[in-house]
This record gives sequence, structure tokens and C-alpha cells, in this order.
Amino acid sequence: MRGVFLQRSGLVCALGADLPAALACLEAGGVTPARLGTPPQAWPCFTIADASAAAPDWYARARRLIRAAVAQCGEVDRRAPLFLASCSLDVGAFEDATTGPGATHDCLVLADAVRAWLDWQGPVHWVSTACTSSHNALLAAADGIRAGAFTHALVLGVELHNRFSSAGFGALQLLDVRRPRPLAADRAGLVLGEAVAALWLGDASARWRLAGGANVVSGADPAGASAAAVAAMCRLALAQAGLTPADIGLIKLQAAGSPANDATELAGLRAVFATLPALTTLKAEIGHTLGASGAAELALLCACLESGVWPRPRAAAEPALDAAFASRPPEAPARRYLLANILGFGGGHSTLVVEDCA
Amino acid sequence: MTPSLAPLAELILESCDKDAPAGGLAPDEILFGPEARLALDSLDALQVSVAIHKRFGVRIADSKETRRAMATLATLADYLVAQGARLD
Amino acid sequence: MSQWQILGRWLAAPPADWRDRLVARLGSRPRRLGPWCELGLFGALECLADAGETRLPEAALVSVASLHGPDRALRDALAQLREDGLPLPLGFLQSQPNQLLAHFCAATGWQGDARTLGTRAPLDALRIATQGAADELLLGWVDEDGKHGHVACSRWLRLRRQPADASAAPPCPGAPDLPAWLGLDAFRL
Repeated sequence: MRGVFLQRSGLVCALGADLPAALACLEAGGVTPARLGTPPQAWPCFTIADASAAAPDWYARARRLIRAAVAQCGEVDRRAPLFLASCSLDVGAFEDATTGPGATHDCLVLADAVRAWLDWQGPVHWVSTACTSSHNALLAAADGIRAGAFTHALVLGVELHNRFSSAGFGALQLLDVRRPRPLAADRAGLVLGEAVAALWLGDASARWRLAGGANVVSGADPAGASAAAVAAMCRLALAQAGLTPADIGLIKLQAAGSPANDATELAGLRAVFATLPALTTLKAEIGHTLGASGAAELALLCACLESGVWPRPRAAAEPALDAAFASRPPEAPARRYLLANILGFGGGHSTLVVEDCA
Repeated sequence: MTPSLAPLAELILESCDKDAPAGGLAPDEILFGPEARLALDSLDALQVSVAIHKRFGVRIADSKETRRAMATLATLADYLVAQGARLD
Repeated sequence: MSQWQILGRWLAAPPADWRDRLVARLGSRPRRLGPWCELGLFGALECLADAGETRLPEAALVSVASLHGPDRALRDALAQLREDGLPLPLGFLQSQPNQLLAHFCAATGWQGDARTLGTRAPLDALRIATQGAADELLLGWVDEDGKHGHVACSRWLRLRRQPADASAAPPCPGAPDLPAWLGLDAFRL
């Protein structure tokens, strides 16, 4: 069976217009989320700092940002399958139109537009499982590469600001009005963020190997996570990778700052890991980028490990959680295998096992 | 049920997609929890909270206050009146 | 290429009483489901029943394809947003296609791998699902009826990968519609 490797990646997020810019910004202390909307519907958001953020032409902005993220991957084979991962798709383009989406609008309008913008020749699919969309896109792409159905695939996570997502998460009382405080005693919710992330996957050896992964949907709570499902996803992913919990040297948590889910995630992990390995989170730096989060956080995490730039813990963890974020990247060889978690509403629990082959 | 509570009961049932319990919703019956006839949960609380904001313009601050205010139909009515809402 | 046995199917158009049949299968009126989710759950449960199952094996994969997704729920929630900036929490949740997956899990007491996928080529969803390691699949194609000419469908197949030495089955039909799949017990893909 073929291996699946992250060949190259691209990221446009609140930290910067590409990965080097994001790392430089992170090293310099990161960014403060912007405040969008008007009270009481004003929510912070880690927006991409581009001049046309407020421009009325949603598609023109999306085109520019998507092209910029994919260009960071260098030369890619445009005949490969493209898996578009997005939670809100192009809702920002029509959410204010009194007639709603146009008469012929469907879920693939953005996918078709991406095909045209990138002059993509291969099939384009939209994977939608809310916050776990990028992980499921990665898992589907990896399946195809392992099975020999294709040798390369592009996973494209796209999440751009829209009032609908902010208001929806606001109505569910899931948002904090400050910078998110993952694991902190006074955490009060997540903060949304924008990201466009491109991951070019292939079967040729590269530094980062996708060793395994799992997606577990649970019906236990339509709006939250389940510790049993977190544990199940870890066990399945480790089994697929042929690893034991002791092999994992780092876990990039979902840890968005949610009062309930942060604790649930740790409870699920503790059912699998007798001793938790080093922990980190990226959501205090780029926000929760929803359907793009799995791709955006994997691109940023790999770049952090390659460069040594590391997200500094911003708040002490709640003592009852008995956990802390690592203040520096774990040293090799302990960090050879890492786990990257994304949990979402709608019962989605997903994780990837990634091997550092350096 | 006093006439002024009927629209409030209707709002709760409609927003939570629940059928009226036998004999209707009593003003002092508990709404939340597995022991309650209506057995509303935290997602229902959010749903009722937004529906109340839309109908009466009253914003309930947080989940603790929501649970206190929504203990029963009568406590919810008292809370809304105290906030200046007109129930009829 | 693998060979797949069809254990169960629901490929017919939803009957007029499909909501009543869903209530009968669930034992009570479902709550918190948007119309697309209800339609999808109806077909999924009919398909499972056709396979003689009430619950999927643990290692199964559920994949749901849709062109329009929960379009009506999205339009309703957007109308609420435009009205006063406040979508109802359930309206927002129902605008997300993955709610069908969570409700399917809750209705059948199952937990496992499940996803929704949008593609213009209906069989791509089948092709992508069969590329994975799962030997047990439940695949659905779900779209609401709408004012734009599309008709309601909730087509489902329950599949099992057959051993390599199984006798040769015909190739996979070109689309997940009725005539091609009726009378078919297995196919190659």
C-alpha cells in the first residue's frame, strides 16, 4: 500500500498572507482578533488582513485568497482530484440578498468557481462535515492515494467571514467576546477565524507522512463533543498507524476555548493516554477556522515544527484539568509522531496521526 | 392557564418542536430535565432564549440566568414582565 | 477494483406518506430535524430495514451525497438573519448537512465514520467511499424537492465488500437510479 505524504502546503490566515509571514507574526506575538458587527451581535474574528476584506465582491476576494494559498504549493498537477472543505461555502456572497441564494444556486457553486479560478482539470468534490470538513477531505484523499486510485490530491480548506456563521455560533452561545482562552479556568467560548489552506498530498516521500487518521460521528450531543467518541477516534487512528499511545509525542488539541468541549476532549484523551504527551493549540492564534481548521492547523503546525517558532501558551490551564500547553516544541525523537485533533458540532470527532520523517 | 401565559406556552412548544403535554402546560410545572413532562434540555434553552429575544426584545444574559428564568412558565412570565415585556 | 454485494437498497421516490413511515420506524415524531435531514433519515432507515438491519456494523462508513443540501433550512435561517440578525440555534444547525449524520447515529444507536459530500457526478461519492478501507458501506443520495425543478430523492444502498474469490459480478451501473440497480445483487467497481 502506498504512503501518503504532505508534499507542500499553503496558508492564508489572520497571522499572514503565507506561511513564512504567519511564522514571523507568531514569533512577534501574534495578532488580536478584529471586532466585527454591532453590539449585541459584535463578535471578535481572526480575519485575514487584506485591503479588500470589506469589499462587496465576495467571489473576487475568495478567488484572490484561494489562488494565493494554492500558489504557495508551487507546481501542482491540475488533473488530480481536488477536495474542497468548507462549512459556510459561499454564504457570505448572498447572506444579505433579500432573495437569498439565486434560483439555480447549489452546494457546488463555489467548487465550480474554484475549478475555473485554478483552471483545475481533475474532479472537484466538496466535503462537508462542519468543523471536521478538512480532516475528512484529507482522509478521503489519503484513501484514494493509498488505494492507488490517484497519486496526488489537493485538499483546499476555505472559510471566510460571514455574518451567518457568527450569528449562528452566537445563538448557540459558543463564542467568547475576548481572545479565546483554551483550557483556561475562565474560558468562555471560541472565536471564529478566516483561513484558506492548501495541502498538496502525494505518494512520494516527504518530511510529513499521514500515518493514520479517524473520523467518528456520535449522536450523543448535536452541539458538542463526546469523550467516548474522542477516545474511539484516537484508538482507531493509532490502530491504522500501527502505533500505541506511548508513540505519540505531541497532541495538537481542538481546544478552542469551549467551557464544555475543552474538558471533554481531555477526558477522552485520558481514556487512551495514561500520561498525556506534550499539548498545543493554534486556535488562540488563528481562531476557529471551522471547515478549514483541519488543513489550516496542520499546515501551520508542520511549519512551526520545521521552524521552531512555537505558539506561546497565553493563559494558565484550569488546575482541575491537570494539563498544560508546551512552551516549546518537543525535541526529536519524542515528537516523531503527532496527533492533530479537530472536533465539531454535529457530533464530529476526527484526528490525524502524522509522522515527522526528518 | 391564565390567558397571558398562553402565547408564552405556545412560543416554547413551537420553538422546541414539542407537542403540548396532556392537559396543557401548567404555569408551575418544571420545564427542564428528564423528570419534566416536557424534558427540555440545554439546546432547547438556547432556542427559547433566541425566540424570546425575537418576540419580546428581551435578551437573557447567560445560561445560568436562562435556566433560572425558564424554570417554569410562571417564572419565565415574571422574568419577562420584570424586563418590561408585554406578554399579551 | 473490488466487488460489492448489495445487502439492501431504497431507490424509489419517497412515497406520499414517507413522514409517517419515518415516525413509525423511529417510534415517535422526530424533533429538531430539518426537512432535508428528515428525508435523508427516512431513506437511510428504509435501506437498513431492506438489509434486515437496525444498526450498522461498527467499522462501516456512511457517505451522503447531495447537490443542494439542506437548502430549505439554509434559506429559512438566512431569512431570520436578515430579519433581525438572529438565526434560531436549531435553524443554524439544520443548515449544516452533517446534522443528518448525527441524527442517523442517534436514531440507530450507532457511532462511526460518516461524511457528506457534494459532487456533480453522483457515482463519485460511491467511487470515493469504495477507495477506503471500510468493507461495510451505507451510501445515500439526498435532495429535497424544490421550486427550481429538482425533485425529492433519498436513494440509499447498503453495501458489503466481497472476498476476492467471489464470482464475477457486472460492472457498476452508471447512476444511482432505479432501473439499473433493481435486480442487481452485486457489482464491480
